[in-house]
Amino acid sequence: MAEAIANSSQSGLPPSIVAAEQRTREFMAQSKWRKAREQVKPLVKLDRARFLPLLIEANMGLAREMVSKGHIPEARQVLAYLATIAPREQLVGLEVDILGRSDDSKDFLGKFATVLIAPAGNLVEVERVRLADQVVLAFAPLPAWHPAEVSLGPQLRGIHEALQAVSREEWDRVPEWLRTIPHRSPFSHWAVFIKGLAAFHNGDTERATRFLSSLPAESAPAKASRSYLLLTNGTELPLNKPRLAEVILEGACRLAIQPGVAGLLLRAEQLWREGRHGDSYRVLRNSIGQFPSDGADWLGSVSEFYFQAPFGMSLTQREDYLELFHDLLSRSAAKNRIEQMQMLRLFALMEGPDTSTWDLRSHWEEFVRIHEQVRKSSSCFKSIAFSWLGQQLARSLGASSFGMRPGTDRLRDAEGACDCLEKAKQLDPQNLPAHLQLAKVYEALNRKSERNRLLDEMAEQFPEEKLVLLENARGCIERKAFTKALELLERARQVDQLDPTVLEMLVTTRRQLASQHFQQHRLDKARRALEPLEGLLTDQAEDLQRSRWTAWLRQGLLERLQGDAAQGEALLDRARAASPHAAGFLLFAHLTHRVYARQVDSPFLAELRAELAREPSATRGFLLLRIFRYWDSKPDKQPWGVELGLLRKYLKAAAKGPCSRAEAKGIVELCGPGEFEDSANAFIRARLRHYPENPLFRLFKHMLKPAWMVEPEESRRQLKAILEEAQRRGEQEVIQKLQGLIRSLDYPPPLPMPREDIDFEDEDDWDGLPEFDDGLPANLTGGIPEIAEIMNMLANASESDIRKFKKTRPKGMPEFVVDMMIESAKKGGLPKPFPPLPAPPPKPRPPAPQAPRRPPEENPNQGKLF
Amino acid sequence: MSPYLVLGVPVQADDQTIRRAYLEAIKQATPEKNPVRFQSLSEAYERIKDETSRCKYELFHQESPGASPLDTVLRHLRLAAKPKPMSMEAMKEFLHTCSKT
Repeated sequence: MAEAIANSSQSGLPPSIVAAEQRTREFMAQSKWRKAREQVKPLVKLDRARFLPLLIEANMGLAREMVSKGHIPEARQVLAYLATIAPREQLVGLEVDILGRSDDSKDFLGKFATVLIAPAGNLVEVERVRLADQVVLAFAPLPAWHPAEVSLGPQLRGIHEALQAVSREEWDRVPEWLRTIPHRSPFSHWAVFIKGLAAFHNGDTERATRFLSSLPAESAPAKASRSYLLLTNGTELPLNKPRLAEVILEGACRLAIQPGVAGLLLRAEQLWREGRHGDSYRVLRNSIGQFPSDGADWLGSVSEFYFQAPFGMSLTQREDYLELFHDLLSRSAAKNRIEQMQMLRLFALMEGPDTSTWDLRSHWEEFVRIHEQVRKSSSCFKSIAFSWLGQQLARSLGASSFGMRPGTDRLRDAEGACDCLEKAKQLDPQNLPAHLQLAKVYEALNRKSERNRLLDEMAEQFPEEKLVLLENARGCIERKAFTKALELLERARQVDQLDPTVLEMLVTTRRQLASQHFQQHRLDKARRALEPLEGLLTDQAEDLQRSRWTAWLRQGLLERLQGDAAQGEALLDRARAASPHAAGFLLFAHLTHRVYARQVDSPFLAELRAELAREPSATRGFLLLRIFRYWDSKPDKQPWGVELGLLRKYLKAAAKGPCSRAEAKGIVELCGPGEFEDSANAFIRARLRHYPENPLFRLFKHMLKPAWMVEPEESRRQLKAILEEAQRRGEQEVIQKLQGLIRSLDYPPPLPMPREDIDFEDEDDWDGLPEFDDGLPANLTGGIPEIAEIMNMLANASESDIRKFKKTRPKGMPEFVVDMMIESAKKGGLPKPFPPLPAPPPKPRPPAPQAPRRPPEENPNQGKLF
Repeated sequence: MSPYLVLGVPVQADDQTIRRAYLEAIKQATPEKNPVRFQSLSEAYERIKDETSRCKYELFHQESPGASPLDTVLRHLRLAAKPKPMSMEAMKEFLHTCSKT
């Protein structure tokens, strides 16, 4: 107000008029055009020259507002009023806008053309373009008598004919017609638009984008181009402006798909972005008859999207989304066979640790069956499908144990795996992976003759396949058919000269053949069997399989034991000279002698003791451990005794001496949990004494604690603390191992599934605990393999094994129970009285439908570091 | 994105058709001229070049063809053959509709 008074003193107008003018301008700034108009009308009567422009501006604003809201008749009334107070040229733009929204533009064609050919100063460029658009969009020729017909007539005709040529795909005619449009023509942007269309429909995306992006911003062609540019990837959809997005997308759909789909797609998109994935699917499912589809068109693509998206989702998102499909499947309410097929495939591929083998098989087999009906699958397809199923069923469930010694691997469903793999083989005899997997399953089931028969078949069918030759060779070696094994291995070597596995097997097999000959006193044959080894040996002393010194040592021992003793001694001397150090030579010789001679003692033991009593070192300790582990991994190893004690003593002393990080790491990893656990701990302690924060050795220390002794939460806390330090130091290997361990705490391995053939009695039939006067029957634990296995193990366990078992017994199992089990195992039965039987297990209910949980990515270090 | 779409071949195409399409496509999109497209063509070809690969792709592939439903549709349309032009009447209606937005 003070400003208004100040203004009034300058303009000489009364303050009230100045204030009114101020208010008018304020209303116009706020786009309150009616109020502005009412405010300024009385002022025009007082000073027309000063206030008429304001009145005109207010009315223009009001008219434009009406046009934008689609109130065309009201806008025309305002325009009619403006025609009485405003100059003609000022109203052209508004007139064009109004007529652009109405259907009678043809009536004004002549008028527009006249304005177009008028001198350019009368119109701003934007209005000129808009005017030209209206002239084109009238899609009518100018009257012959019209003054603009001479200059604009041919151009207008050129535009219309060029558009017609585009719609008829008469591409040669398009440039002909566009030649009539000069560079400065008011229709030049239409020429650019049409060139863009021609490029678009001829597949020249780059050219099309260039033309269609260069049009005047608010022109009709530019607005139409947005849909084309969406399809050339030249623009993004403005999803924050839903109405505009729908118009653009509808244009694109009209071009490329079908009209009327844009709204559905936008709705589905919005729901997807909000995380309502199931609802998004339902929008399309409920509105489009052919959805989901497996066609090569857009519908097939978007259908595929909905069934592939779960693989990339988080666990929670996936569970929620898959509820929809679970529900459809359980109610047999699939919309069509494609939907059913895709759901079954999804469930089978996403099966988690809770999925039963029955579910997996039924899903996958049904999927294959429907696929055959829908797409007429080939034998190759079905073979690969069954091969995969067989592999899943043949997956190992891990050894059963209570932490003492690893038991044999159990397969998920070995018989089922056999069925599937045999089917895969029949469907496609060239399916090599199926053959190889089947051989492994036969081996797991101990069906040796079938396995051997299969391997022979494979050797004929796949004569150049290295894997087949190697498997076959392994089978021959097991049967002690060494000559045939060597033949197969030589063939494998022809296929791949550099594969170290082949070379190692050749070396091993020759030695075994030689050993066989030595045992049968066929000395010449034995030596001949060893001659070709020369080409396979290496000078790398640390290679315990193929180094020269170990080869001479082995041959020397065989000669000494079963051949020429002098020759044997000579070879042993050569081996000793070439070995890395005396202790290594002596240990290797001692262990080899034990295996060959099958004796507890060896002539090298005394010297070995003396050598080990000398100054111990971590470097020598590492090789000694490697040598021990090498022989410990052989199938014909002997039960170790004094060697363990000697090595432990050596390592305990070596731990007190200097030791590099790499040496300590190597030794700890070789020691692992088990008979050298104390040695590992000694090195760990020594290392941590000097470097207490070292994350690697803190991790080793953690790993050596039995799992029963640490609560999972405390374990997680400790591992996270170590991880922080490892991350601070950037020790990538340690970081990865720690992350794997922490993950395994978050996703513990599943408990073994109960056997599906266990027949639990109805609990209502139990009248009470059964009474056994003569102790529990021997077969009571027959249905629970773990207990039987433990009892067997305890029956043969040494004292140190028993002590370890007591230390690592399940948490909550009292020691007296352990003592009773040990006592009974030694006596070959269960004790009486035995602790009371547990309550019978409840009858298993069928699991409630659950979304399959995807297991975490495979962690090769799960549960073990070494 | 579907390798069939990337190479512009139907799902039932045989080895020869696929190979021909691949060779034609990489003539236009050489590694020097268009390395991104060349790489996507080569990856697509590897996935479906013979019957075994095609079967494995169909059985086991887990990639989504897009980041969202709309993204998938647009990607498909951008790769697919360009549509035929609208009729003149449809074009007129389309232009009128666009001019009123």
